Amino acid sequence: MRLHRLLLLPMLAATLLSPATATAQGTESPIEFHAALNTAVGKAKDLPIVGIPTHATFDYRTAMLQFRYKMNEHDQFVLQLLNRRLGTSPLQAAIPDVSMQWAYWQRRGSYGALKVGRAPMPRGIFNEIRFVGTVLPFFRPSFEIYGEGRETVDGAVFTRRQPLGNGFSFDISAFGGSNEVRTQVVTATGNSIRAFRGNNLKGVQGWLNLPFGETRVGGFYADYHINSDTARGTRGEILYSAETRLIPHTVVRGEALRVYGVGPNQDRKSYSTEAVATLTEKLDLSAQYSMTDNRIFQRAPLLNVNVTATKDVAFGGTYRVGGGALVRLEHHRVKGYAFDRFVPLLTNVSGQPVIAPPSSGSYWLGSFAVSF
Amino acid sequence: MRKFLSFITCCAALVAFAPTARAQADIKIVVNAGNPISEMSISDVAGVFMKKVGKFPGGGPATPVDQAKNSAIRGAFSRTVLGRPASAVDSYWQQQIFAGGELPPPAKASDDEVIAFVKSTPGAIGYVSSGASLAGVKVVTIK
Repeated sequence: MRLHRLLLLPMLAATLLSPATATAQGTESPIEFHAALNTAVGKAKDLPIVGIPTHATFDYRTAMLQFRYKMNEHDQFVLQLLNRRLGTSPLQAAIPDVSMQWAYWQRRGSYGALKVGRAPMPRGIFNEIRFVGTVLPFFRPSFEIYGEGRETVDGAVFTRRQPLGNGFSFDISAFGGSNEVRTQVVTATGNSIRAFRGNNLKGVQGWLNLPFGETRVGGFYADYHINSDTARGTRGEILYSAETRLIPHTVVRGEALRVYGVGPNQDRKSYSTEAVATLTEKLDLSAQYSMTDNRIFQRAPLLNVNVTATKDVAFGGTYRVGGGALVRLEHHRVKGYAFDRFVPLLTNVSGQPVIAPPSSGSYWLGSFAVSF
Repeated sequence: MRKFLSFITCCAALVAFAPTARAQADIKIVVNAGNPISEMSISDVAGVFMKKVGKFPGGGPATPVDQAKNSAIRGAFSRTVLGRPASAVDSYWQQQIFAGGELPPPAKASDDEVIAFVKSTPGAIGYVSSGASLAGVKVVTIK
């Protein structure tokens, strides 16, 4: 693993320093490379969360290096390496330092585009661009909706845009194959890291693009089969998304996710809404509210209960420093049970287990992002 | 939650009073001399340059060519034709690149280089400043 990291860093440095960089951008060369770096320093108060400890960490970033080879007018081959560091997150144990995030062949034609290999999963507003810090309002898209560790499809992805007239259009994506699933799950006894493969994956996403305010509304559905030590069965996901720029200089987004099925038994509902106001060409202000409701399945005679596992209120400011780079400062206030250190989910009252009061924490994240 | 709503209200107020100056520049849209097209709407031009459509309204394949990244004319073109600041256009292309989508049009360093590219490429479309020498290319009227 360490060897991979050592290999990636000189490659990134060579890419950034090479005189070929300028000529590779926007020319007719069949080979192109692009890179994105999103690196942060974070410090939590009270409780560690999403890998950010109370003593602060600089070991928090994503870095990508993308290579494209244009084989002919219709076909290209794309490789993308990803370096991901999550500070002190327990999830880091299940996520490699460096991975081949994408490796696919793509053919474009009048019918649409087909990707074969390991390709980004068309899921919601942000999944395909989740590591490109220069286009995100915060360091990462809502953790409640997107998590960490489930981003790609090993198989095939087909996309097509269908004009509907009068400025309306419809984007449809369909995909199938399998995918990696790595999650940090809060249980009554502690945090649990689950890493397995979702097999027989099949999914679809549609976006209706409206002719005003760059507005679009979309829906996503996928299901896959899990066959791991802890779970066996089918899991499904439904995600609704909407995005609009109807208010001048402002983007408003909302997403609602339901994950259900085995995991073991789970039924999780997450919501996120955010607004980004562009005050000047260089300065954005952002606000985001995310939450997750979890159903806790209990053995009879105990009844299943619904618990608000996380509420996250975030504010941020982004300043573009030029040259495709920006700096960002954000603050998150989190309430619930999903921290990196165990907080009790259940407590005893007169011998009966009841849901414990939620814990609170907060963190600051300062980040620098650049991409080309 | 109350703080959140207050913050959103403040943002909306700031945005409402933000300056909305739009650069007005004399920009000429040029295509290859052999291209039969003679006029296009602003939205047609924007669609081609953002690669949302790959063809001219008449049906021929379109190959857009851009100006240098930090040039004044590119900034003016972004605002007046694409309807957003150059930084927002850059963000759009970053999204496209890293989502496995389209790549941005090739960028040329000067009006002369854009003219040379358009002259030698049958489906090319570019934009130049009003003072540029237009020999060998055709200027498209914006309807």
